[in-house]
Amino acid sequence: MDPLEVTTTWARMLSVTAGACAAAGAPGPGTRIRGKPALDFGSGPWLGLIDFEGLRRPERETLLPWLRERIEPLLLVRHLLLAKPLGEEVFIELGPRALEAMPEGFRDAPRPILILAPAGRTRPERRRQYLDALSRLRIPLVSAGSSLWAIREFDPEFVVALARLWKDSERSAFRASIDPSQTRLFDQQLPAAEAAVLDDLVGARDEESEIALDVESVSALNPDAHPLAVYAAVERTRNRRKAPKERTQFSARTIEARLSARGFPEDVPSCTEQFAARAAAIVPLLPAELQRAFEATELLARD
Amino acid sequence: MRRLETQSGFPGASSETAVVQDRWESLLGKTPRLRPWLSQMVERRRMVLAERLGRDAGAEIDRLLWSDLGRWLRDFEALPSYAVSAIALDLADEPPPRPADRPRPPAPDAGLPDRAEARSPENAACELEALVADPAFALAFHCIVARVRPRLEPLTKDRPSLARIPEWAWFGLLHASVPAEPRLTARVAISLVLRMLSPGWAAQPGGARKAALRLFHAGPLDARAVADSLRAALPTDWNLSAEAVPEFVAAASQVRKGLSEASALCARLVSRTCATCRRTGKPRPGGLGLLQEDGAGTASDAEVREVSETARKYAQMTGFAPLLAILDEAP
Repeated sequence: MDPLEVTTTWARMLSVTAGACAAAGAPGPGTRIRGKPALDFGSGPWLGLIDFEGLRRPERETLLPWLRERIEPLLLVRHLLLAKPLGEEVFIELGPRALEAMPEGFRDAPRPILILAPAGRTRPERRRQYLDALSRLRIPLVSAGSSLWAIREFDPEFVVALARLWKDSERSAFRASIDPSQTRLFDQQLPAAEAAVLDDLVGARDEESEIALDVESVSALNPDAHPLAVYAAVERTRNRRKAPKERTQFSARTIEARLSARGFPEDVPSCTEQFAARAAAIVPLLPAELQRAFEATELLARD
Repeated sequence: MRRLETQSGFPGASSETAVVQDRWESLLGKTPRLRPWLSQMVERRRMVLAERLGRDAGAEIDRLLWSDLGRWLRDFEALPSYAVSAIALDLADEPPPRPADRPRPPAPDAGLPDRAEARSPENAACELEALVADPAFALAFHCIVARVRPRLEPLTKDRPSLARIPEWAWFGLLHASVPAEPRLTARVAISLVLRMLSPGWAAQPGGARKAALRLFHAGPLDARAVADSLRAALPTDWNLSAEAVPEFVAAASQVRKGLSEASALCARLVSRTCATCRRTGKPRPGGLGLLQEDGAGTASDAEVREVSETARKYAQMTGFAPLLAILDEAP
């Protein structure tokens, strides 16, 4: 592998520790919704599938031991049980550590599944492959269907850089290459950057945003719905109002709706007085928010 | 085995706390690496409680510390043992807390925690300066100064009803309006600088930030329907009257346009740096090397002169020098 590019890696590290995210997309188990982590809406850890397709061979070889020896337990304490990485084929296989650590009965019930995809590296049809493969599986883990499957994208270059810096030799070489006045800062920033990336992978650093506000209000109106199902409905209602280039496909339900040509154009029902009255009693909304919440609630009911 | 209460800062034990104490000792016996972290947590928590309750409230502080110890214990006991070891190792690797990281008392609406990194203005200024030492963030800073600030200044000057809303609040709202992206793009760089420019925003209670963000994205039709409850949830010092709500909504629209213009300008300047570096064969310095071209046209000479002007005004921001060294060359 080429030597690590010091200035860009250092700039990226500083930006991530300053608050830029290294992973984004659908909620993860750590994303806070209505004041509590999404994990609290179900029981047990979520299943994480990291996608290696699109990564180069040396990148995979760097990531594999780092994930297995360093990251897997650190993600588990963040309530994400990481399965073996996905290659060309999409299937669920748990490694020995995951098998040892998973709670009893983990595989006997449906679980939220978070696919960690390398941003900018996957082919457009890859999302369809995720969906097709998971739909074909006949195991309890996936039996709740696509409303519990979603995608978060991560920065592959930075994650690989962190994996390389985990090795003493790479870390020493990197440290020797930066300005001597910054070596102490580097020593502090590296663990902070790693923790930030892990938190980003599970959504623990997700901040307030327009879509997060909609997820909160729809979740308040549908308290029994899982955050991933709520996110799926909200993403679809927001996509209806966006230009094609701005639409997102982080929820498996969104992908499924598009593939089955139910995504666009859709009949958009108008908010009923009955719903408006119910909403007013639970979470007062502005007219545009109310309409979106109504559409999302309709989608949730239909799904 | 060391007893918990013999460690510095630990609360005094009693018969009521014996069970928690025994369970902690059992856990620490299996995971000794957790012990220094626990001592540090207890000391920090004791300091916060003493600041809040007074140093004479020893008994109450001990009671609250045992309550915390019970809560942490349940969290750790719920984890597989190797995960506890892993987190203990991870915690041991963490650098000592900076002064700005000292734990703060919980916000009034504890269900909506503030961003953990709410910082002092001095600390924020230092961090901003460190960030804009990189040319990518100096570029983002320029785009905010050149396109967002000029939109904002007349809005607050001409509308007395909005004068009480500080600039950092608008910047915080803009930051929250930029969709999260997993890689460093021109838009992310701008968003990060906006975050650094709005330290006061993070210090607002979560409920106030949410209410403000909802109003910030409201349309003209929404403005007429804004309920008193939403206005009441806004930051208290804004004192926004019902009559001023449409003005706020109109101003928000202008500020969002400023952000779009800043993003477009940033993309054009990135294109120009890419074109110049391709021609000269030089690498793009620092974070500029991470910013991707997105098909935008190239920045004009007039736009480059604007960067020079910002660099002159903010001479202490060292990231401008390498940026201008590229921009001043013909693409």
